[in-house]
Amino acid sequence: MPKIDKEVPSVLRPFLFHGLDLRWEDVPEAVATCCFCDRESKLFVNKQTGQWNCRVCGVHGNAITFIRSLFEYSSIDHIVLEEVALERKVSPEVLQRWGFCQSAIDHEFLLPGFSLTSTEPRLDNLYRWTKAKGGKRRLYGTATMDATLFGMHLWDPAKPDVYICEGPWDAMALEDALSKHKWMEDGELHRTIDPEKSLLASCNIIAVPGCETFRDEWLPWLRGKNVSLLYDNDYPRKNRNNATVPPAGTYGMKKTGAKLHHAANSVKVLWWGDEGYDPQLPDGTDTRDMLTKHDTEPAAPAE
Amino acid sequence: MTQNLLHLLNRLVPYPQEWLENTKHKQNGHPTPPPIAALECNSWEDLVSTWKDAMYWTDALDITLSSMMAVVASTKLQGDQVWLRIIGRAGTAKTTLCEAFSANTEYTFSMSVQRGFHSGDSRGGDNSLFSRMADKTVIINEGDTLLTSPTCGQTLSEMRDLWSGQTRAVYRNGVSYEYHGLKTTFIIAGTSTLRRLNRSAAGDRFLDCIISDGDCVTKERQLVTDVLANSLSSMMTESNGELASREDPRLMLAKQKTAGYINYIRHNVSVLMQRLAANPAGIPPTFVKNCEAMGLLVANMRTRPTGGDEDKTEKELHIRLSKQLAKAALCTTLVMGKATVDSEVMRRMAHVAEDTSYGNSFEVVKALFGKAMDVRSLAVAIRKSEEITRKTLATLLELDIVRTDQSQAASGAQGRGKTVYRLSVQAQTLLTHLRRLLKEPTAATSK
Repeated sequence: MPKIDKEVPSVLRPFLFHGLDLRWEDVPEAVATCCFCDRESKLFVNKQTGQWNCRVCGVHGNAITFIRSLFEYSSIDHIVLEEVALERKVSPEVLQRWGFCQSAIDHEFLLPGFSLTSTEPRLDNLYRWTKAKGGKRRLYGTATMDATLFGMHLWDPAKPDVYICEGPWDAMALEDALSKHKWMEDGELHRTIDPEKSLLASCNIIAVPGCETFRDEWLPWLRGKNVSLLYDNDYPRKNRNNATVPPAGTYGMKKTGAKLHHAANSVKVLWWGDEGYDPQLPDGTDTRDMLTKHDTEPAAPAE
Repeated sequence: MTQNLLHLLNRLVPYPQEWLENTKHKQNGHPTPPPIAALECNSWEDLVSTWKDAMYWTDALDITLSSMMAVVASTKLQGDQVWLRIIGRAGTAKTTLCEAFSANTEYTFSMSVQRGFHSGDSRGGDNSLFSRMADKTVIINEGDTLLTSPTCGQTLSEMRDLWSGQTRAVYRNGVSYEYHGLKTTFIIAGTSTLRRLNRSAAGDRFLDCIISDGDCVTKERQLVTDVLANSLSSMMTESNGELASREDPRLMLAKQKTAGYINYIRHNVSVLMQRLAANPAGIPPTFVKNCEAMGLLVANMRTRPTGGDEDKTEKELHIRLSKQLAKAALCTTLVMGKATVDSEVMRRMAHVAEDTSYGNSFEVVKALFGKAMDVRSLAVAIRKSEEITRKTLATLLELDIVRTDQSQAASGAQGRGKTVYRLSVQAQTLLTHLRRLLKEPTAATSK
């Protein structure tokens, strides 16, 4: 992830976060190579307002429109997509459906996040899946922008059930699994190749960026739905005062469920045990781990 | 994968009830009691009867409850917004009603400390309250404190901005945030000091509802006796922090049902509105005329002198008021579960119009109704000094609400007759109209 100097004006942080080669010191307007037409020193950003425009291709707007344009201009190579899908144990089709792509600026991986207005979801954040300190990739929301939901662009208001996962990878793995299964009349779960008959046909799957993040303005969208919360199996931890902090995943489900209680038709949670976690499973076990563990079982014939 | 998915789905259990009861939002290390859970309530009569069980219930409280509920119902409807000020003396159940509405956190947003709605551009992010207030009714239950707050001016100017549904914050560090299409209504409760929210400070956006002003002494005594008797049992019970033991169970039930009724109204407002529109007898032909008359009266009565001698007194245009009253009337009809905007609904609206008109001008107009009076006797009638009465009359003369006349000198007396004041024909008609609406059969309720 590009390191952003603390001295940088906050309006420029979203641009630098996405790797724009912005020069902003000793110039009246910050300037960069336009990531949309590749013309050098043609993209200008106002250091006071954050308004930007390219003097050549004419694309312009504010920080939000910048990330929307960036997402629009970004794409992904098929081979790279296959590699990521293999590594993340989800199908490439699902990755693409969720908007997974590579940045048009520096080819880092991007995933769109959506805020909810009263009428429609809006792309208001663009997450970078980039290497953190330990070399492991993590998702980071665009600097200075609010936390948003993943997968809302796939939202179908007619579907009665909603699965809310902790993070988009879990949600993608769940979508992959639900799209390939259906309930039989005898109550058995069977594989299917018909998405119209699959479990996915009656449910929306969305993801929160973290187990403690749930905004009140998301509630109206979940009104009357059967909501299931699938957060991680986190172990309790000790804080700096050596006090025990309850398992984060279960605590998050508890808090979110309390908010949903009045709005949703029903709320279900992933039960990890009476203590809020399952000591038999490793710390941090999530939905994707649950769905992909021992994934060597012979696939039952699809009906 | 099938077994894994089955295993995962089998781990899904209904949200444990004990989690709900034990949820404590820690703030500064102090656990706060759990929120009040809404109870299903789909009937106005049921809601009112629960309130009657919980406390001494007056017609003024009934009107206040229906008006507050109408504000909540109107939140997402198109057109001018309906904002309400609840004014009452201390101990008139203003806060209790506001708390009951605040129990529904999905459709209301309760604010106690007012430091403006914009957050400032801290750490580069916008944490303003607008996103949390959108599509909700903001309840400010100690509105008096708003007036003493050092940021009162800022809060009020932001409220004025909100009226149009859009607001923007431009900070000196060059950052700006814009919000469009906000649908937010306000209910502010407080004592009569709230009236200081005058025209220049967003006061003209509000309709008023007065609780208990004008109640007779006997009623007041009865109220105190009943309240005291009711509270004796709860005085002897200690709260253990649990929801059930927090206060009188009957009052708790009323609050829970109020929260539930808000859910019902907000879920069904479009359907109920369509039903009302589809009913040929739903909106009587006199409805528009009545609302216009009430709006005109309130606009006249709320006009205050604008200052210097050269200034002409500016009267607000009555269109917005008429629209607000019409919208409030339609929403009150839905709230009360009625199929038509009947005389009871209009009586309630007339009360709101009367309460909104409150002031010296209205006192003068009421005193002059059907009479001619000189300044001295008018001052006695409205219990104000002659100076205040003269100033008020000057404004009313300028607005053509009163006119002057010369009374004949008494037989044998020398000199001219005294100057007397009468209502103009228009004002006389408007007040007659209002009185007729107020005299419609009441549904006054009491325990």
